[in-house]
Amino acid sequence: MNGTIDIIGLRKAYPSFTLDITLSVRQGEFLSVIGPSGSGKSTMLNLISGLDEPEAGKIIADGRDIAHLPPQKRGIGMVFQDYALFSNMNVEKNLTYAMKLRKLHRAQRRQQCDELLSFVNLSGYNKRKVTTLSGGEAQRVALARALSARPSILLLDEPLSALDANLRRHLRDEIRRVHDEDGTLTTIYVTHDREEAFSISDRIAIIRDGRIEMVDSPENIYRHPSSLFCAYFTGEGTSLPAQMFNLSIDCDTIFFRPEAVTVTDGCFYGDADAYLILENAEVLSAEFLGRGYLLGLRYNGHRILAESQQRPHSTSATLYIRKTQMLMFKDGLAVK
Amino acid sequence: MRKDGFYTAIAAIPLAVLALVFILPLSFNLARAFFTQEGFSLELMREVFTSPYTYRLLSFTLLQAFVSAAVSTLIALPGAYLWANYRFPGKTLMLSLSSLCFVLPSILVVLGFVIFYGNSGFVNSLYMALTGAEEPVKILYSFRAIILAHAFLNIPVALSLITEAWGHWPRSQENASSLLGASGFRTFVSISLPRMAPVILSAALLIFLFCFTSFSIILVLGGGVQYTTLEVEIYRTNNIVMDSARASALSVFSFLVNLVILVLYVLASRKLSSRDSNREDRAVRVHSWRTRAALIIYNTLMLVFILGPLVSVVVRSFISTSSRYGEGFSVRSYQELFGLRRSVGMMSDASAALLNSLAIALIVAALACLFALFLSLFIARRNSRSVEVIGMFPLAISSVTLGLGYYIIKAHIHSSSLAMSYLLVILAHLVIALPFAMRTLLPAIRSQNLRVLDAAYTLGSGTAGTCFRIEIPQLKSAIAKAFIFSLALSMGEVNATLTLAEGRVVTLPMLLYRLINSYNYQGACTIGTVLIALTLVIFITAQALTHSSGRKAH
Repeated sequence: MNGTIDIIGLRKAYPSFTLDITLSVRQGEFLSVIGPSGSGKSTMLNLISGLDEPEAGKIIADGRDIAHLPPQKRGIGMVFQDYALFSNMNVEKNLTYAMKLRKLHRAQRRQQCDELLSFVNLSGYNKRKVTTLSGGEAQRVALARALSARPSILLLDEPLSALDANLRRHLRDEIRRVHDEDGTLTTIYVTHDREEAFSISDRIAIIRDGRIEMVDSPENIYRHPSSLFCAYFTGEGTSLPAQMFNLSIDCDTIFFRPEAVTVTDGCFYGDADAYLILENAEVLSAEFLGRGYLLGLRYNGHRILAESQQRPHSTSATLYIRKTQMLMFKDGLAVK
Repeated sequence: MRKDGFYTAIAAIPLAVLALVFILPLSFNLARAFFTQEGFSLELMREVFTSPYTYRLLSFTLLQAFVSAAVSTLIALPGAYLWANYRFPGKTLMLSLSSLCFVLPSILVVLGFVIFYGNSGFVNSLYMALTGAEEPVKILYSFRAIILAHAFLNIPVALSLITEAWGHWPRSQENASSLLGASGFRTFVSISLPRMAPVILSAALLIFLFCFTSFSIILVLGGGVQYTTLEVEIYRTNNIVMDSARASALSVFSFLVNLVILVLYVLASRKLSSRDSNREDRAVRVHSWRTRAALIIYNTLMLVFILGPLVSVVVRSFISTSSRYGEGFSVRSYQELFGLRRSVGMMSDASAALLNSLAIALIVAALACLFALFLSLFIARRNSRSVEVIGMFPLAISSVTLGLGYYIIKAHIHSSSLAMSYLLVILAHLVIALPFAMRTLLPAIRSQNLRVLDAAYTLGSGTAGTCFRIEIPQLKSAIAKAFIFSLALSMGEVNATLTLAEGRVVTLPMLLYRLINSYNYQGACTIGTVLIALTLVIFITAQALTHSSGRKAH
């Protein structure tokens, strides 16, 4: 079975928005889907898995359109936000459920179950009741169970959102490891946490109001967002009206990340031509980040975010914005 | 939560009253069973416990309760499946109708059955007209009739209990099963059904408990010694054979069996955790025509089954069959009821019965609410399981046994005053209503946000002040529901009233019972219609209250 999946014009109308998705995921790829809550992330997964039925469009997997197949026939694994472990069964029965449906022999089932458990670092958990598992353990069992049916495509619906920060970091690495060790597994991972998406994805799709706004590698998404929405959704930044500067390019807004700004309250050593200079910006706040400070400043009534190694000594500072890192937008869309 | 004596103080009064109104009749009852003129004696008990007749009674009582519970649950199950999983127009109405049956007086059901399924009833008239048969099908006064009437009362109970629990389970486990390749049937068998099992079991046990102590249905519809249960036998022995000692001994026996069933029920419902009860509605739009057809057929049958007997009572109240007053349409019974026409016979008590019922029900509901509120506050805030169990005790004692206890008390104090009869009826009703009021209030109190109380304390409000100004006002709609529930229970109560008051205190259901026995069906149906109307008013008020409080919460 081939894990390539082509979603073409997949449509479904909901009271609050209309989902309309076109997206291709290659075999073995790890794609994350991020977007604000209510943008249609989970809905998209439900349409792909067959839990919900589309009004139009195709889902081509392994060369055939599966958009109207029942979920049982799709060969897609899914991990749910609330784990959805079968509460009336123990860990082993959860994991062998799909194997029984595939009519595997007892010995085979046992062996595969043990393999899966050691795969997610839960060896020996066979007889545990699922109600006694911690959140992290339950999520690993859910992951193992999704893999137990040998899917070529794995969907994860905000699998870590109920866990605490440390565990999230640990488990997301584990999810990536599971994906990599399989080799051919195609994974679509829905999250609302952009850092999570940045750290584990091959590519990221940003979804907004039921439509894909941008699909690209994490680096490109961060550095060259296709729209102001993507720019803000993937990290901190400042946008200023273009008429503040004498620019030859036709645009209405410029955008830059905090790290594009150098803040000084004294001399500046560098090629001043490579920078836009804003003098006498008022320092409003300094947020300590560990590796440096995130400064909140005001210039001509506009709020600006900048990164700095030191806490500024005076209440005013001069800002040097690196021109190569400035992005131009017109009507919310990037201008090349 | 701070530990001062406030909650204990407010619980003390209802506990004392409960001890008085519940334990007193019970102990008089026990005393009658264990003491003869010669002093303490086990003779009566030995007789009861060794008599084969007792065990014949027991086995029939168990059998009818088991069959009733099984039939009700099995018929309710497909309906609960459809109702929990699909949206359809009129669903709220159907669910309301089901919970209406919960508070319908059983004597009214008896009447409805006589009118609807009787030899000259609507079903048989239709049958004979359609088939041209000369003889009606005999439905009433048989084992079948008992089961049918119990099913009428309890299918809706099972339906709403199971639908309520099932309808709020998220679908994710079932979804996970489908994605792992399981067919719909397989998912139902290995995922849905095991999750449902405790709910189904506890609903069935609850119905079993109701049917075990069922009284008026068996008394009237069973129609003979052949179909006598423990409860009916206790009543017969005391009120017809006039042997209160033997009746007491029997009631002790019945109490013990009842206790076992109650314990089983409590154990079964303990497994139902409210832990994962989120308010998500799992119902989806109907997709296939097969589901739609199933829904239409099931709902239509349910409507006919539930409304048939009730509507026929209303219709029959306007039909006179008396040769003296002329046949056909007539409002005579209503004129008699409201005193517009002088009446002979039982209908002369009608307006008094209406007033009696209303007055008794209002007093009982007010007291039951107040006591249940204080007890539940104590139970919830002090986490007192023992008081919770004590509050549940009255469920274990059947209303006939309770009535018998009060009957014996009355005989002891040699009081023949009418006021005493009223007082005893009110106390008996109070004991019956209290556990139900508590069951309504406790969940609401338990789900209150305690941080709000803490907030009030930090603002300087005392425990008592916080309780009366914050806690109790927040429970307004739950209190209203408990009040209305108690009102309906008292309004429809016939078992204890019949056993203890010997006809001195005439309430609507009592009058109804007598009118049925004297074959004055038009009069009975008029009283029945009034009871239906009252129940409806009470019920609609309750629904409106829940609705408006629900909207406020959003």
